Amino acid sequence: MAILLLSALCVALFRHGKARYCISFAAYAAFVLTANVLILLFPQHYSPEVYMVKQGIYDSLLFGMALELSVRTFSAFTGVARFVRMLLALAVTTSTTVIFLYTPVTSGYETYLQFQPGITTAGVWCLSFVGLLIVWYQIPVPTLTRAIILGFAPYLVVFTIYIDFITRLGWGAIQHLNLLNAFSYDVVAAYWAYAAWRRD
Amino acid sequence: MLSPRTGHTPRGGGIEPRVIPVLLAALAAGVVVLVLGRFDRDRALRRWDFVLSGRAEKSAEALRERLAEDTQIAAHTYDLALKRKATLSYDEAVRLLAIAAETIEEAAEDRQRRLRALSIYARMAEAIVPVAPVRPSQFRLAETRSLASIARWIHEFLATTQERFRFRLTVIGFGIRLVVRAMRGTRTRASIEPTKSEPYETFGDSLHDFRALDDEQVESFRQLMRSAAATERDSLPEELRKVRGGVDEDEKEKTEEN
Repeated sequence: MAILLLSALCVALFRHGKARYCISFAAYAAFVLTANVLILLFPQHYSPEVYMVKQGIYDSLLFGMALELSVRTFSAFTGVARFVRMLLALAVTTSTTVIFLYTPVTSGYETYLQFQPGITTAGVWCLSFVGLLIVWYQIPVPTLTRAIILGFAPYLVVFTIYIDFITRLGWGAIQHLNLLNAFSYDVVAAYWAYAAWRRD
Repeated sequence: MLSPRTGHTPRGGGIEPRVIPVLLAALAAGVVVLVLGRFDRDRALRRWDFVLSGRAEKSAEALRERLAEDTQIAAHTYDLALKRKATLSYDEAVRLLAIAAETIEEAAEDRQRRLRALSIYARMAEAIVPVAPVRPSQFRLAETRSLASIARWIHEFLATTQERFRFRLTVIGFGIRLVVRAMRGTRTRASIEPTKSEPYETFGDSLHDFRALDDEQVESFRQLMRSAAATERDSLPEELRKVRGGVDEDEKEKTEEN
């Protein structure tokens, strides 16, 4: 299901030229789609190391999205751009400090459950900052930009809860938790696809 | 909170450290969904259209007339109350004073709404032309005069014209609250001792201050529109360069703000 929705999203992003609104998001969508297809075709190669690399790229693109959205949205407004840059720098510094404190010295697949919630939470905060500043300064952003923030923020909360549940219930419960996580992601992907296909 | 490993609440009843990221993420997501979810892009575009249209003088004059209409009704009712008092019809005078006070109370709500809208527009302007602080000498009530005096002092400590402008709006809003409170007081005092002239005089002073605050609000609006009209359109994003500032849109915006 996710592959179908992500395919629809990628097609719309490039066909309607909406990829230019946030190149990091287009790269993220394309990467998630590629990763899902590869996992489906070659499940035997899907190892913990591969998972860690994949998650690292997702996280980097998430922060890239927050930065790119803020630059694209506010750079034209010279009066507020400096203040926004200062706020975002503060958010990134705080997030980096939190991540640094949460990440164990030996960060690997074994300790993944300990440090991933911190990274995800920092990502949610950076995106939320951008979203709140859009409303504060009344910037009429494209529908897709709004959809990216409105889709990502709640999904990342679900993802953080998912990680927390694995920590509490153990890896035995992962099948059921995966279902919940996948369902949430499908809903968000459908919303993004709808926003990408919709004419502004 | 139950922990599966121990089955107990953490010692001291505090929050488990691993729950903190979940709570922080939920807080940020909840706020952004609530705020950005309610954000209306078309309305924002109309606001920008109004801001960039450059019809400041015309809009300011229309606003001045609209605000004057409200206070004229209250002033007329107040004059009637004074006449009734002069002819010793105290019950009727108190009743008319109460009507005048209610009219101003309703108008005050409308003013507060306008001030909130002005505050939003102030965020949208790239830079704001320097504004003077609210003048204390124009007020008659002791509380509004004191407010303006303190505000003039604080005004000097604020660094940017944006801050000074927003502070000016806050002062006007607070001044309106003080005037309404003074009017409520006069209404009560007049009903207890209808023969005394003090409540009527204070009411007259309140009405005067309310008008003065209206003038300050119109002046703020005019300065804001001047600032906004000076925004360099070419530097704005594509969708904002397209807005044309037609009369219909202007009217739509006014209706919305009302």
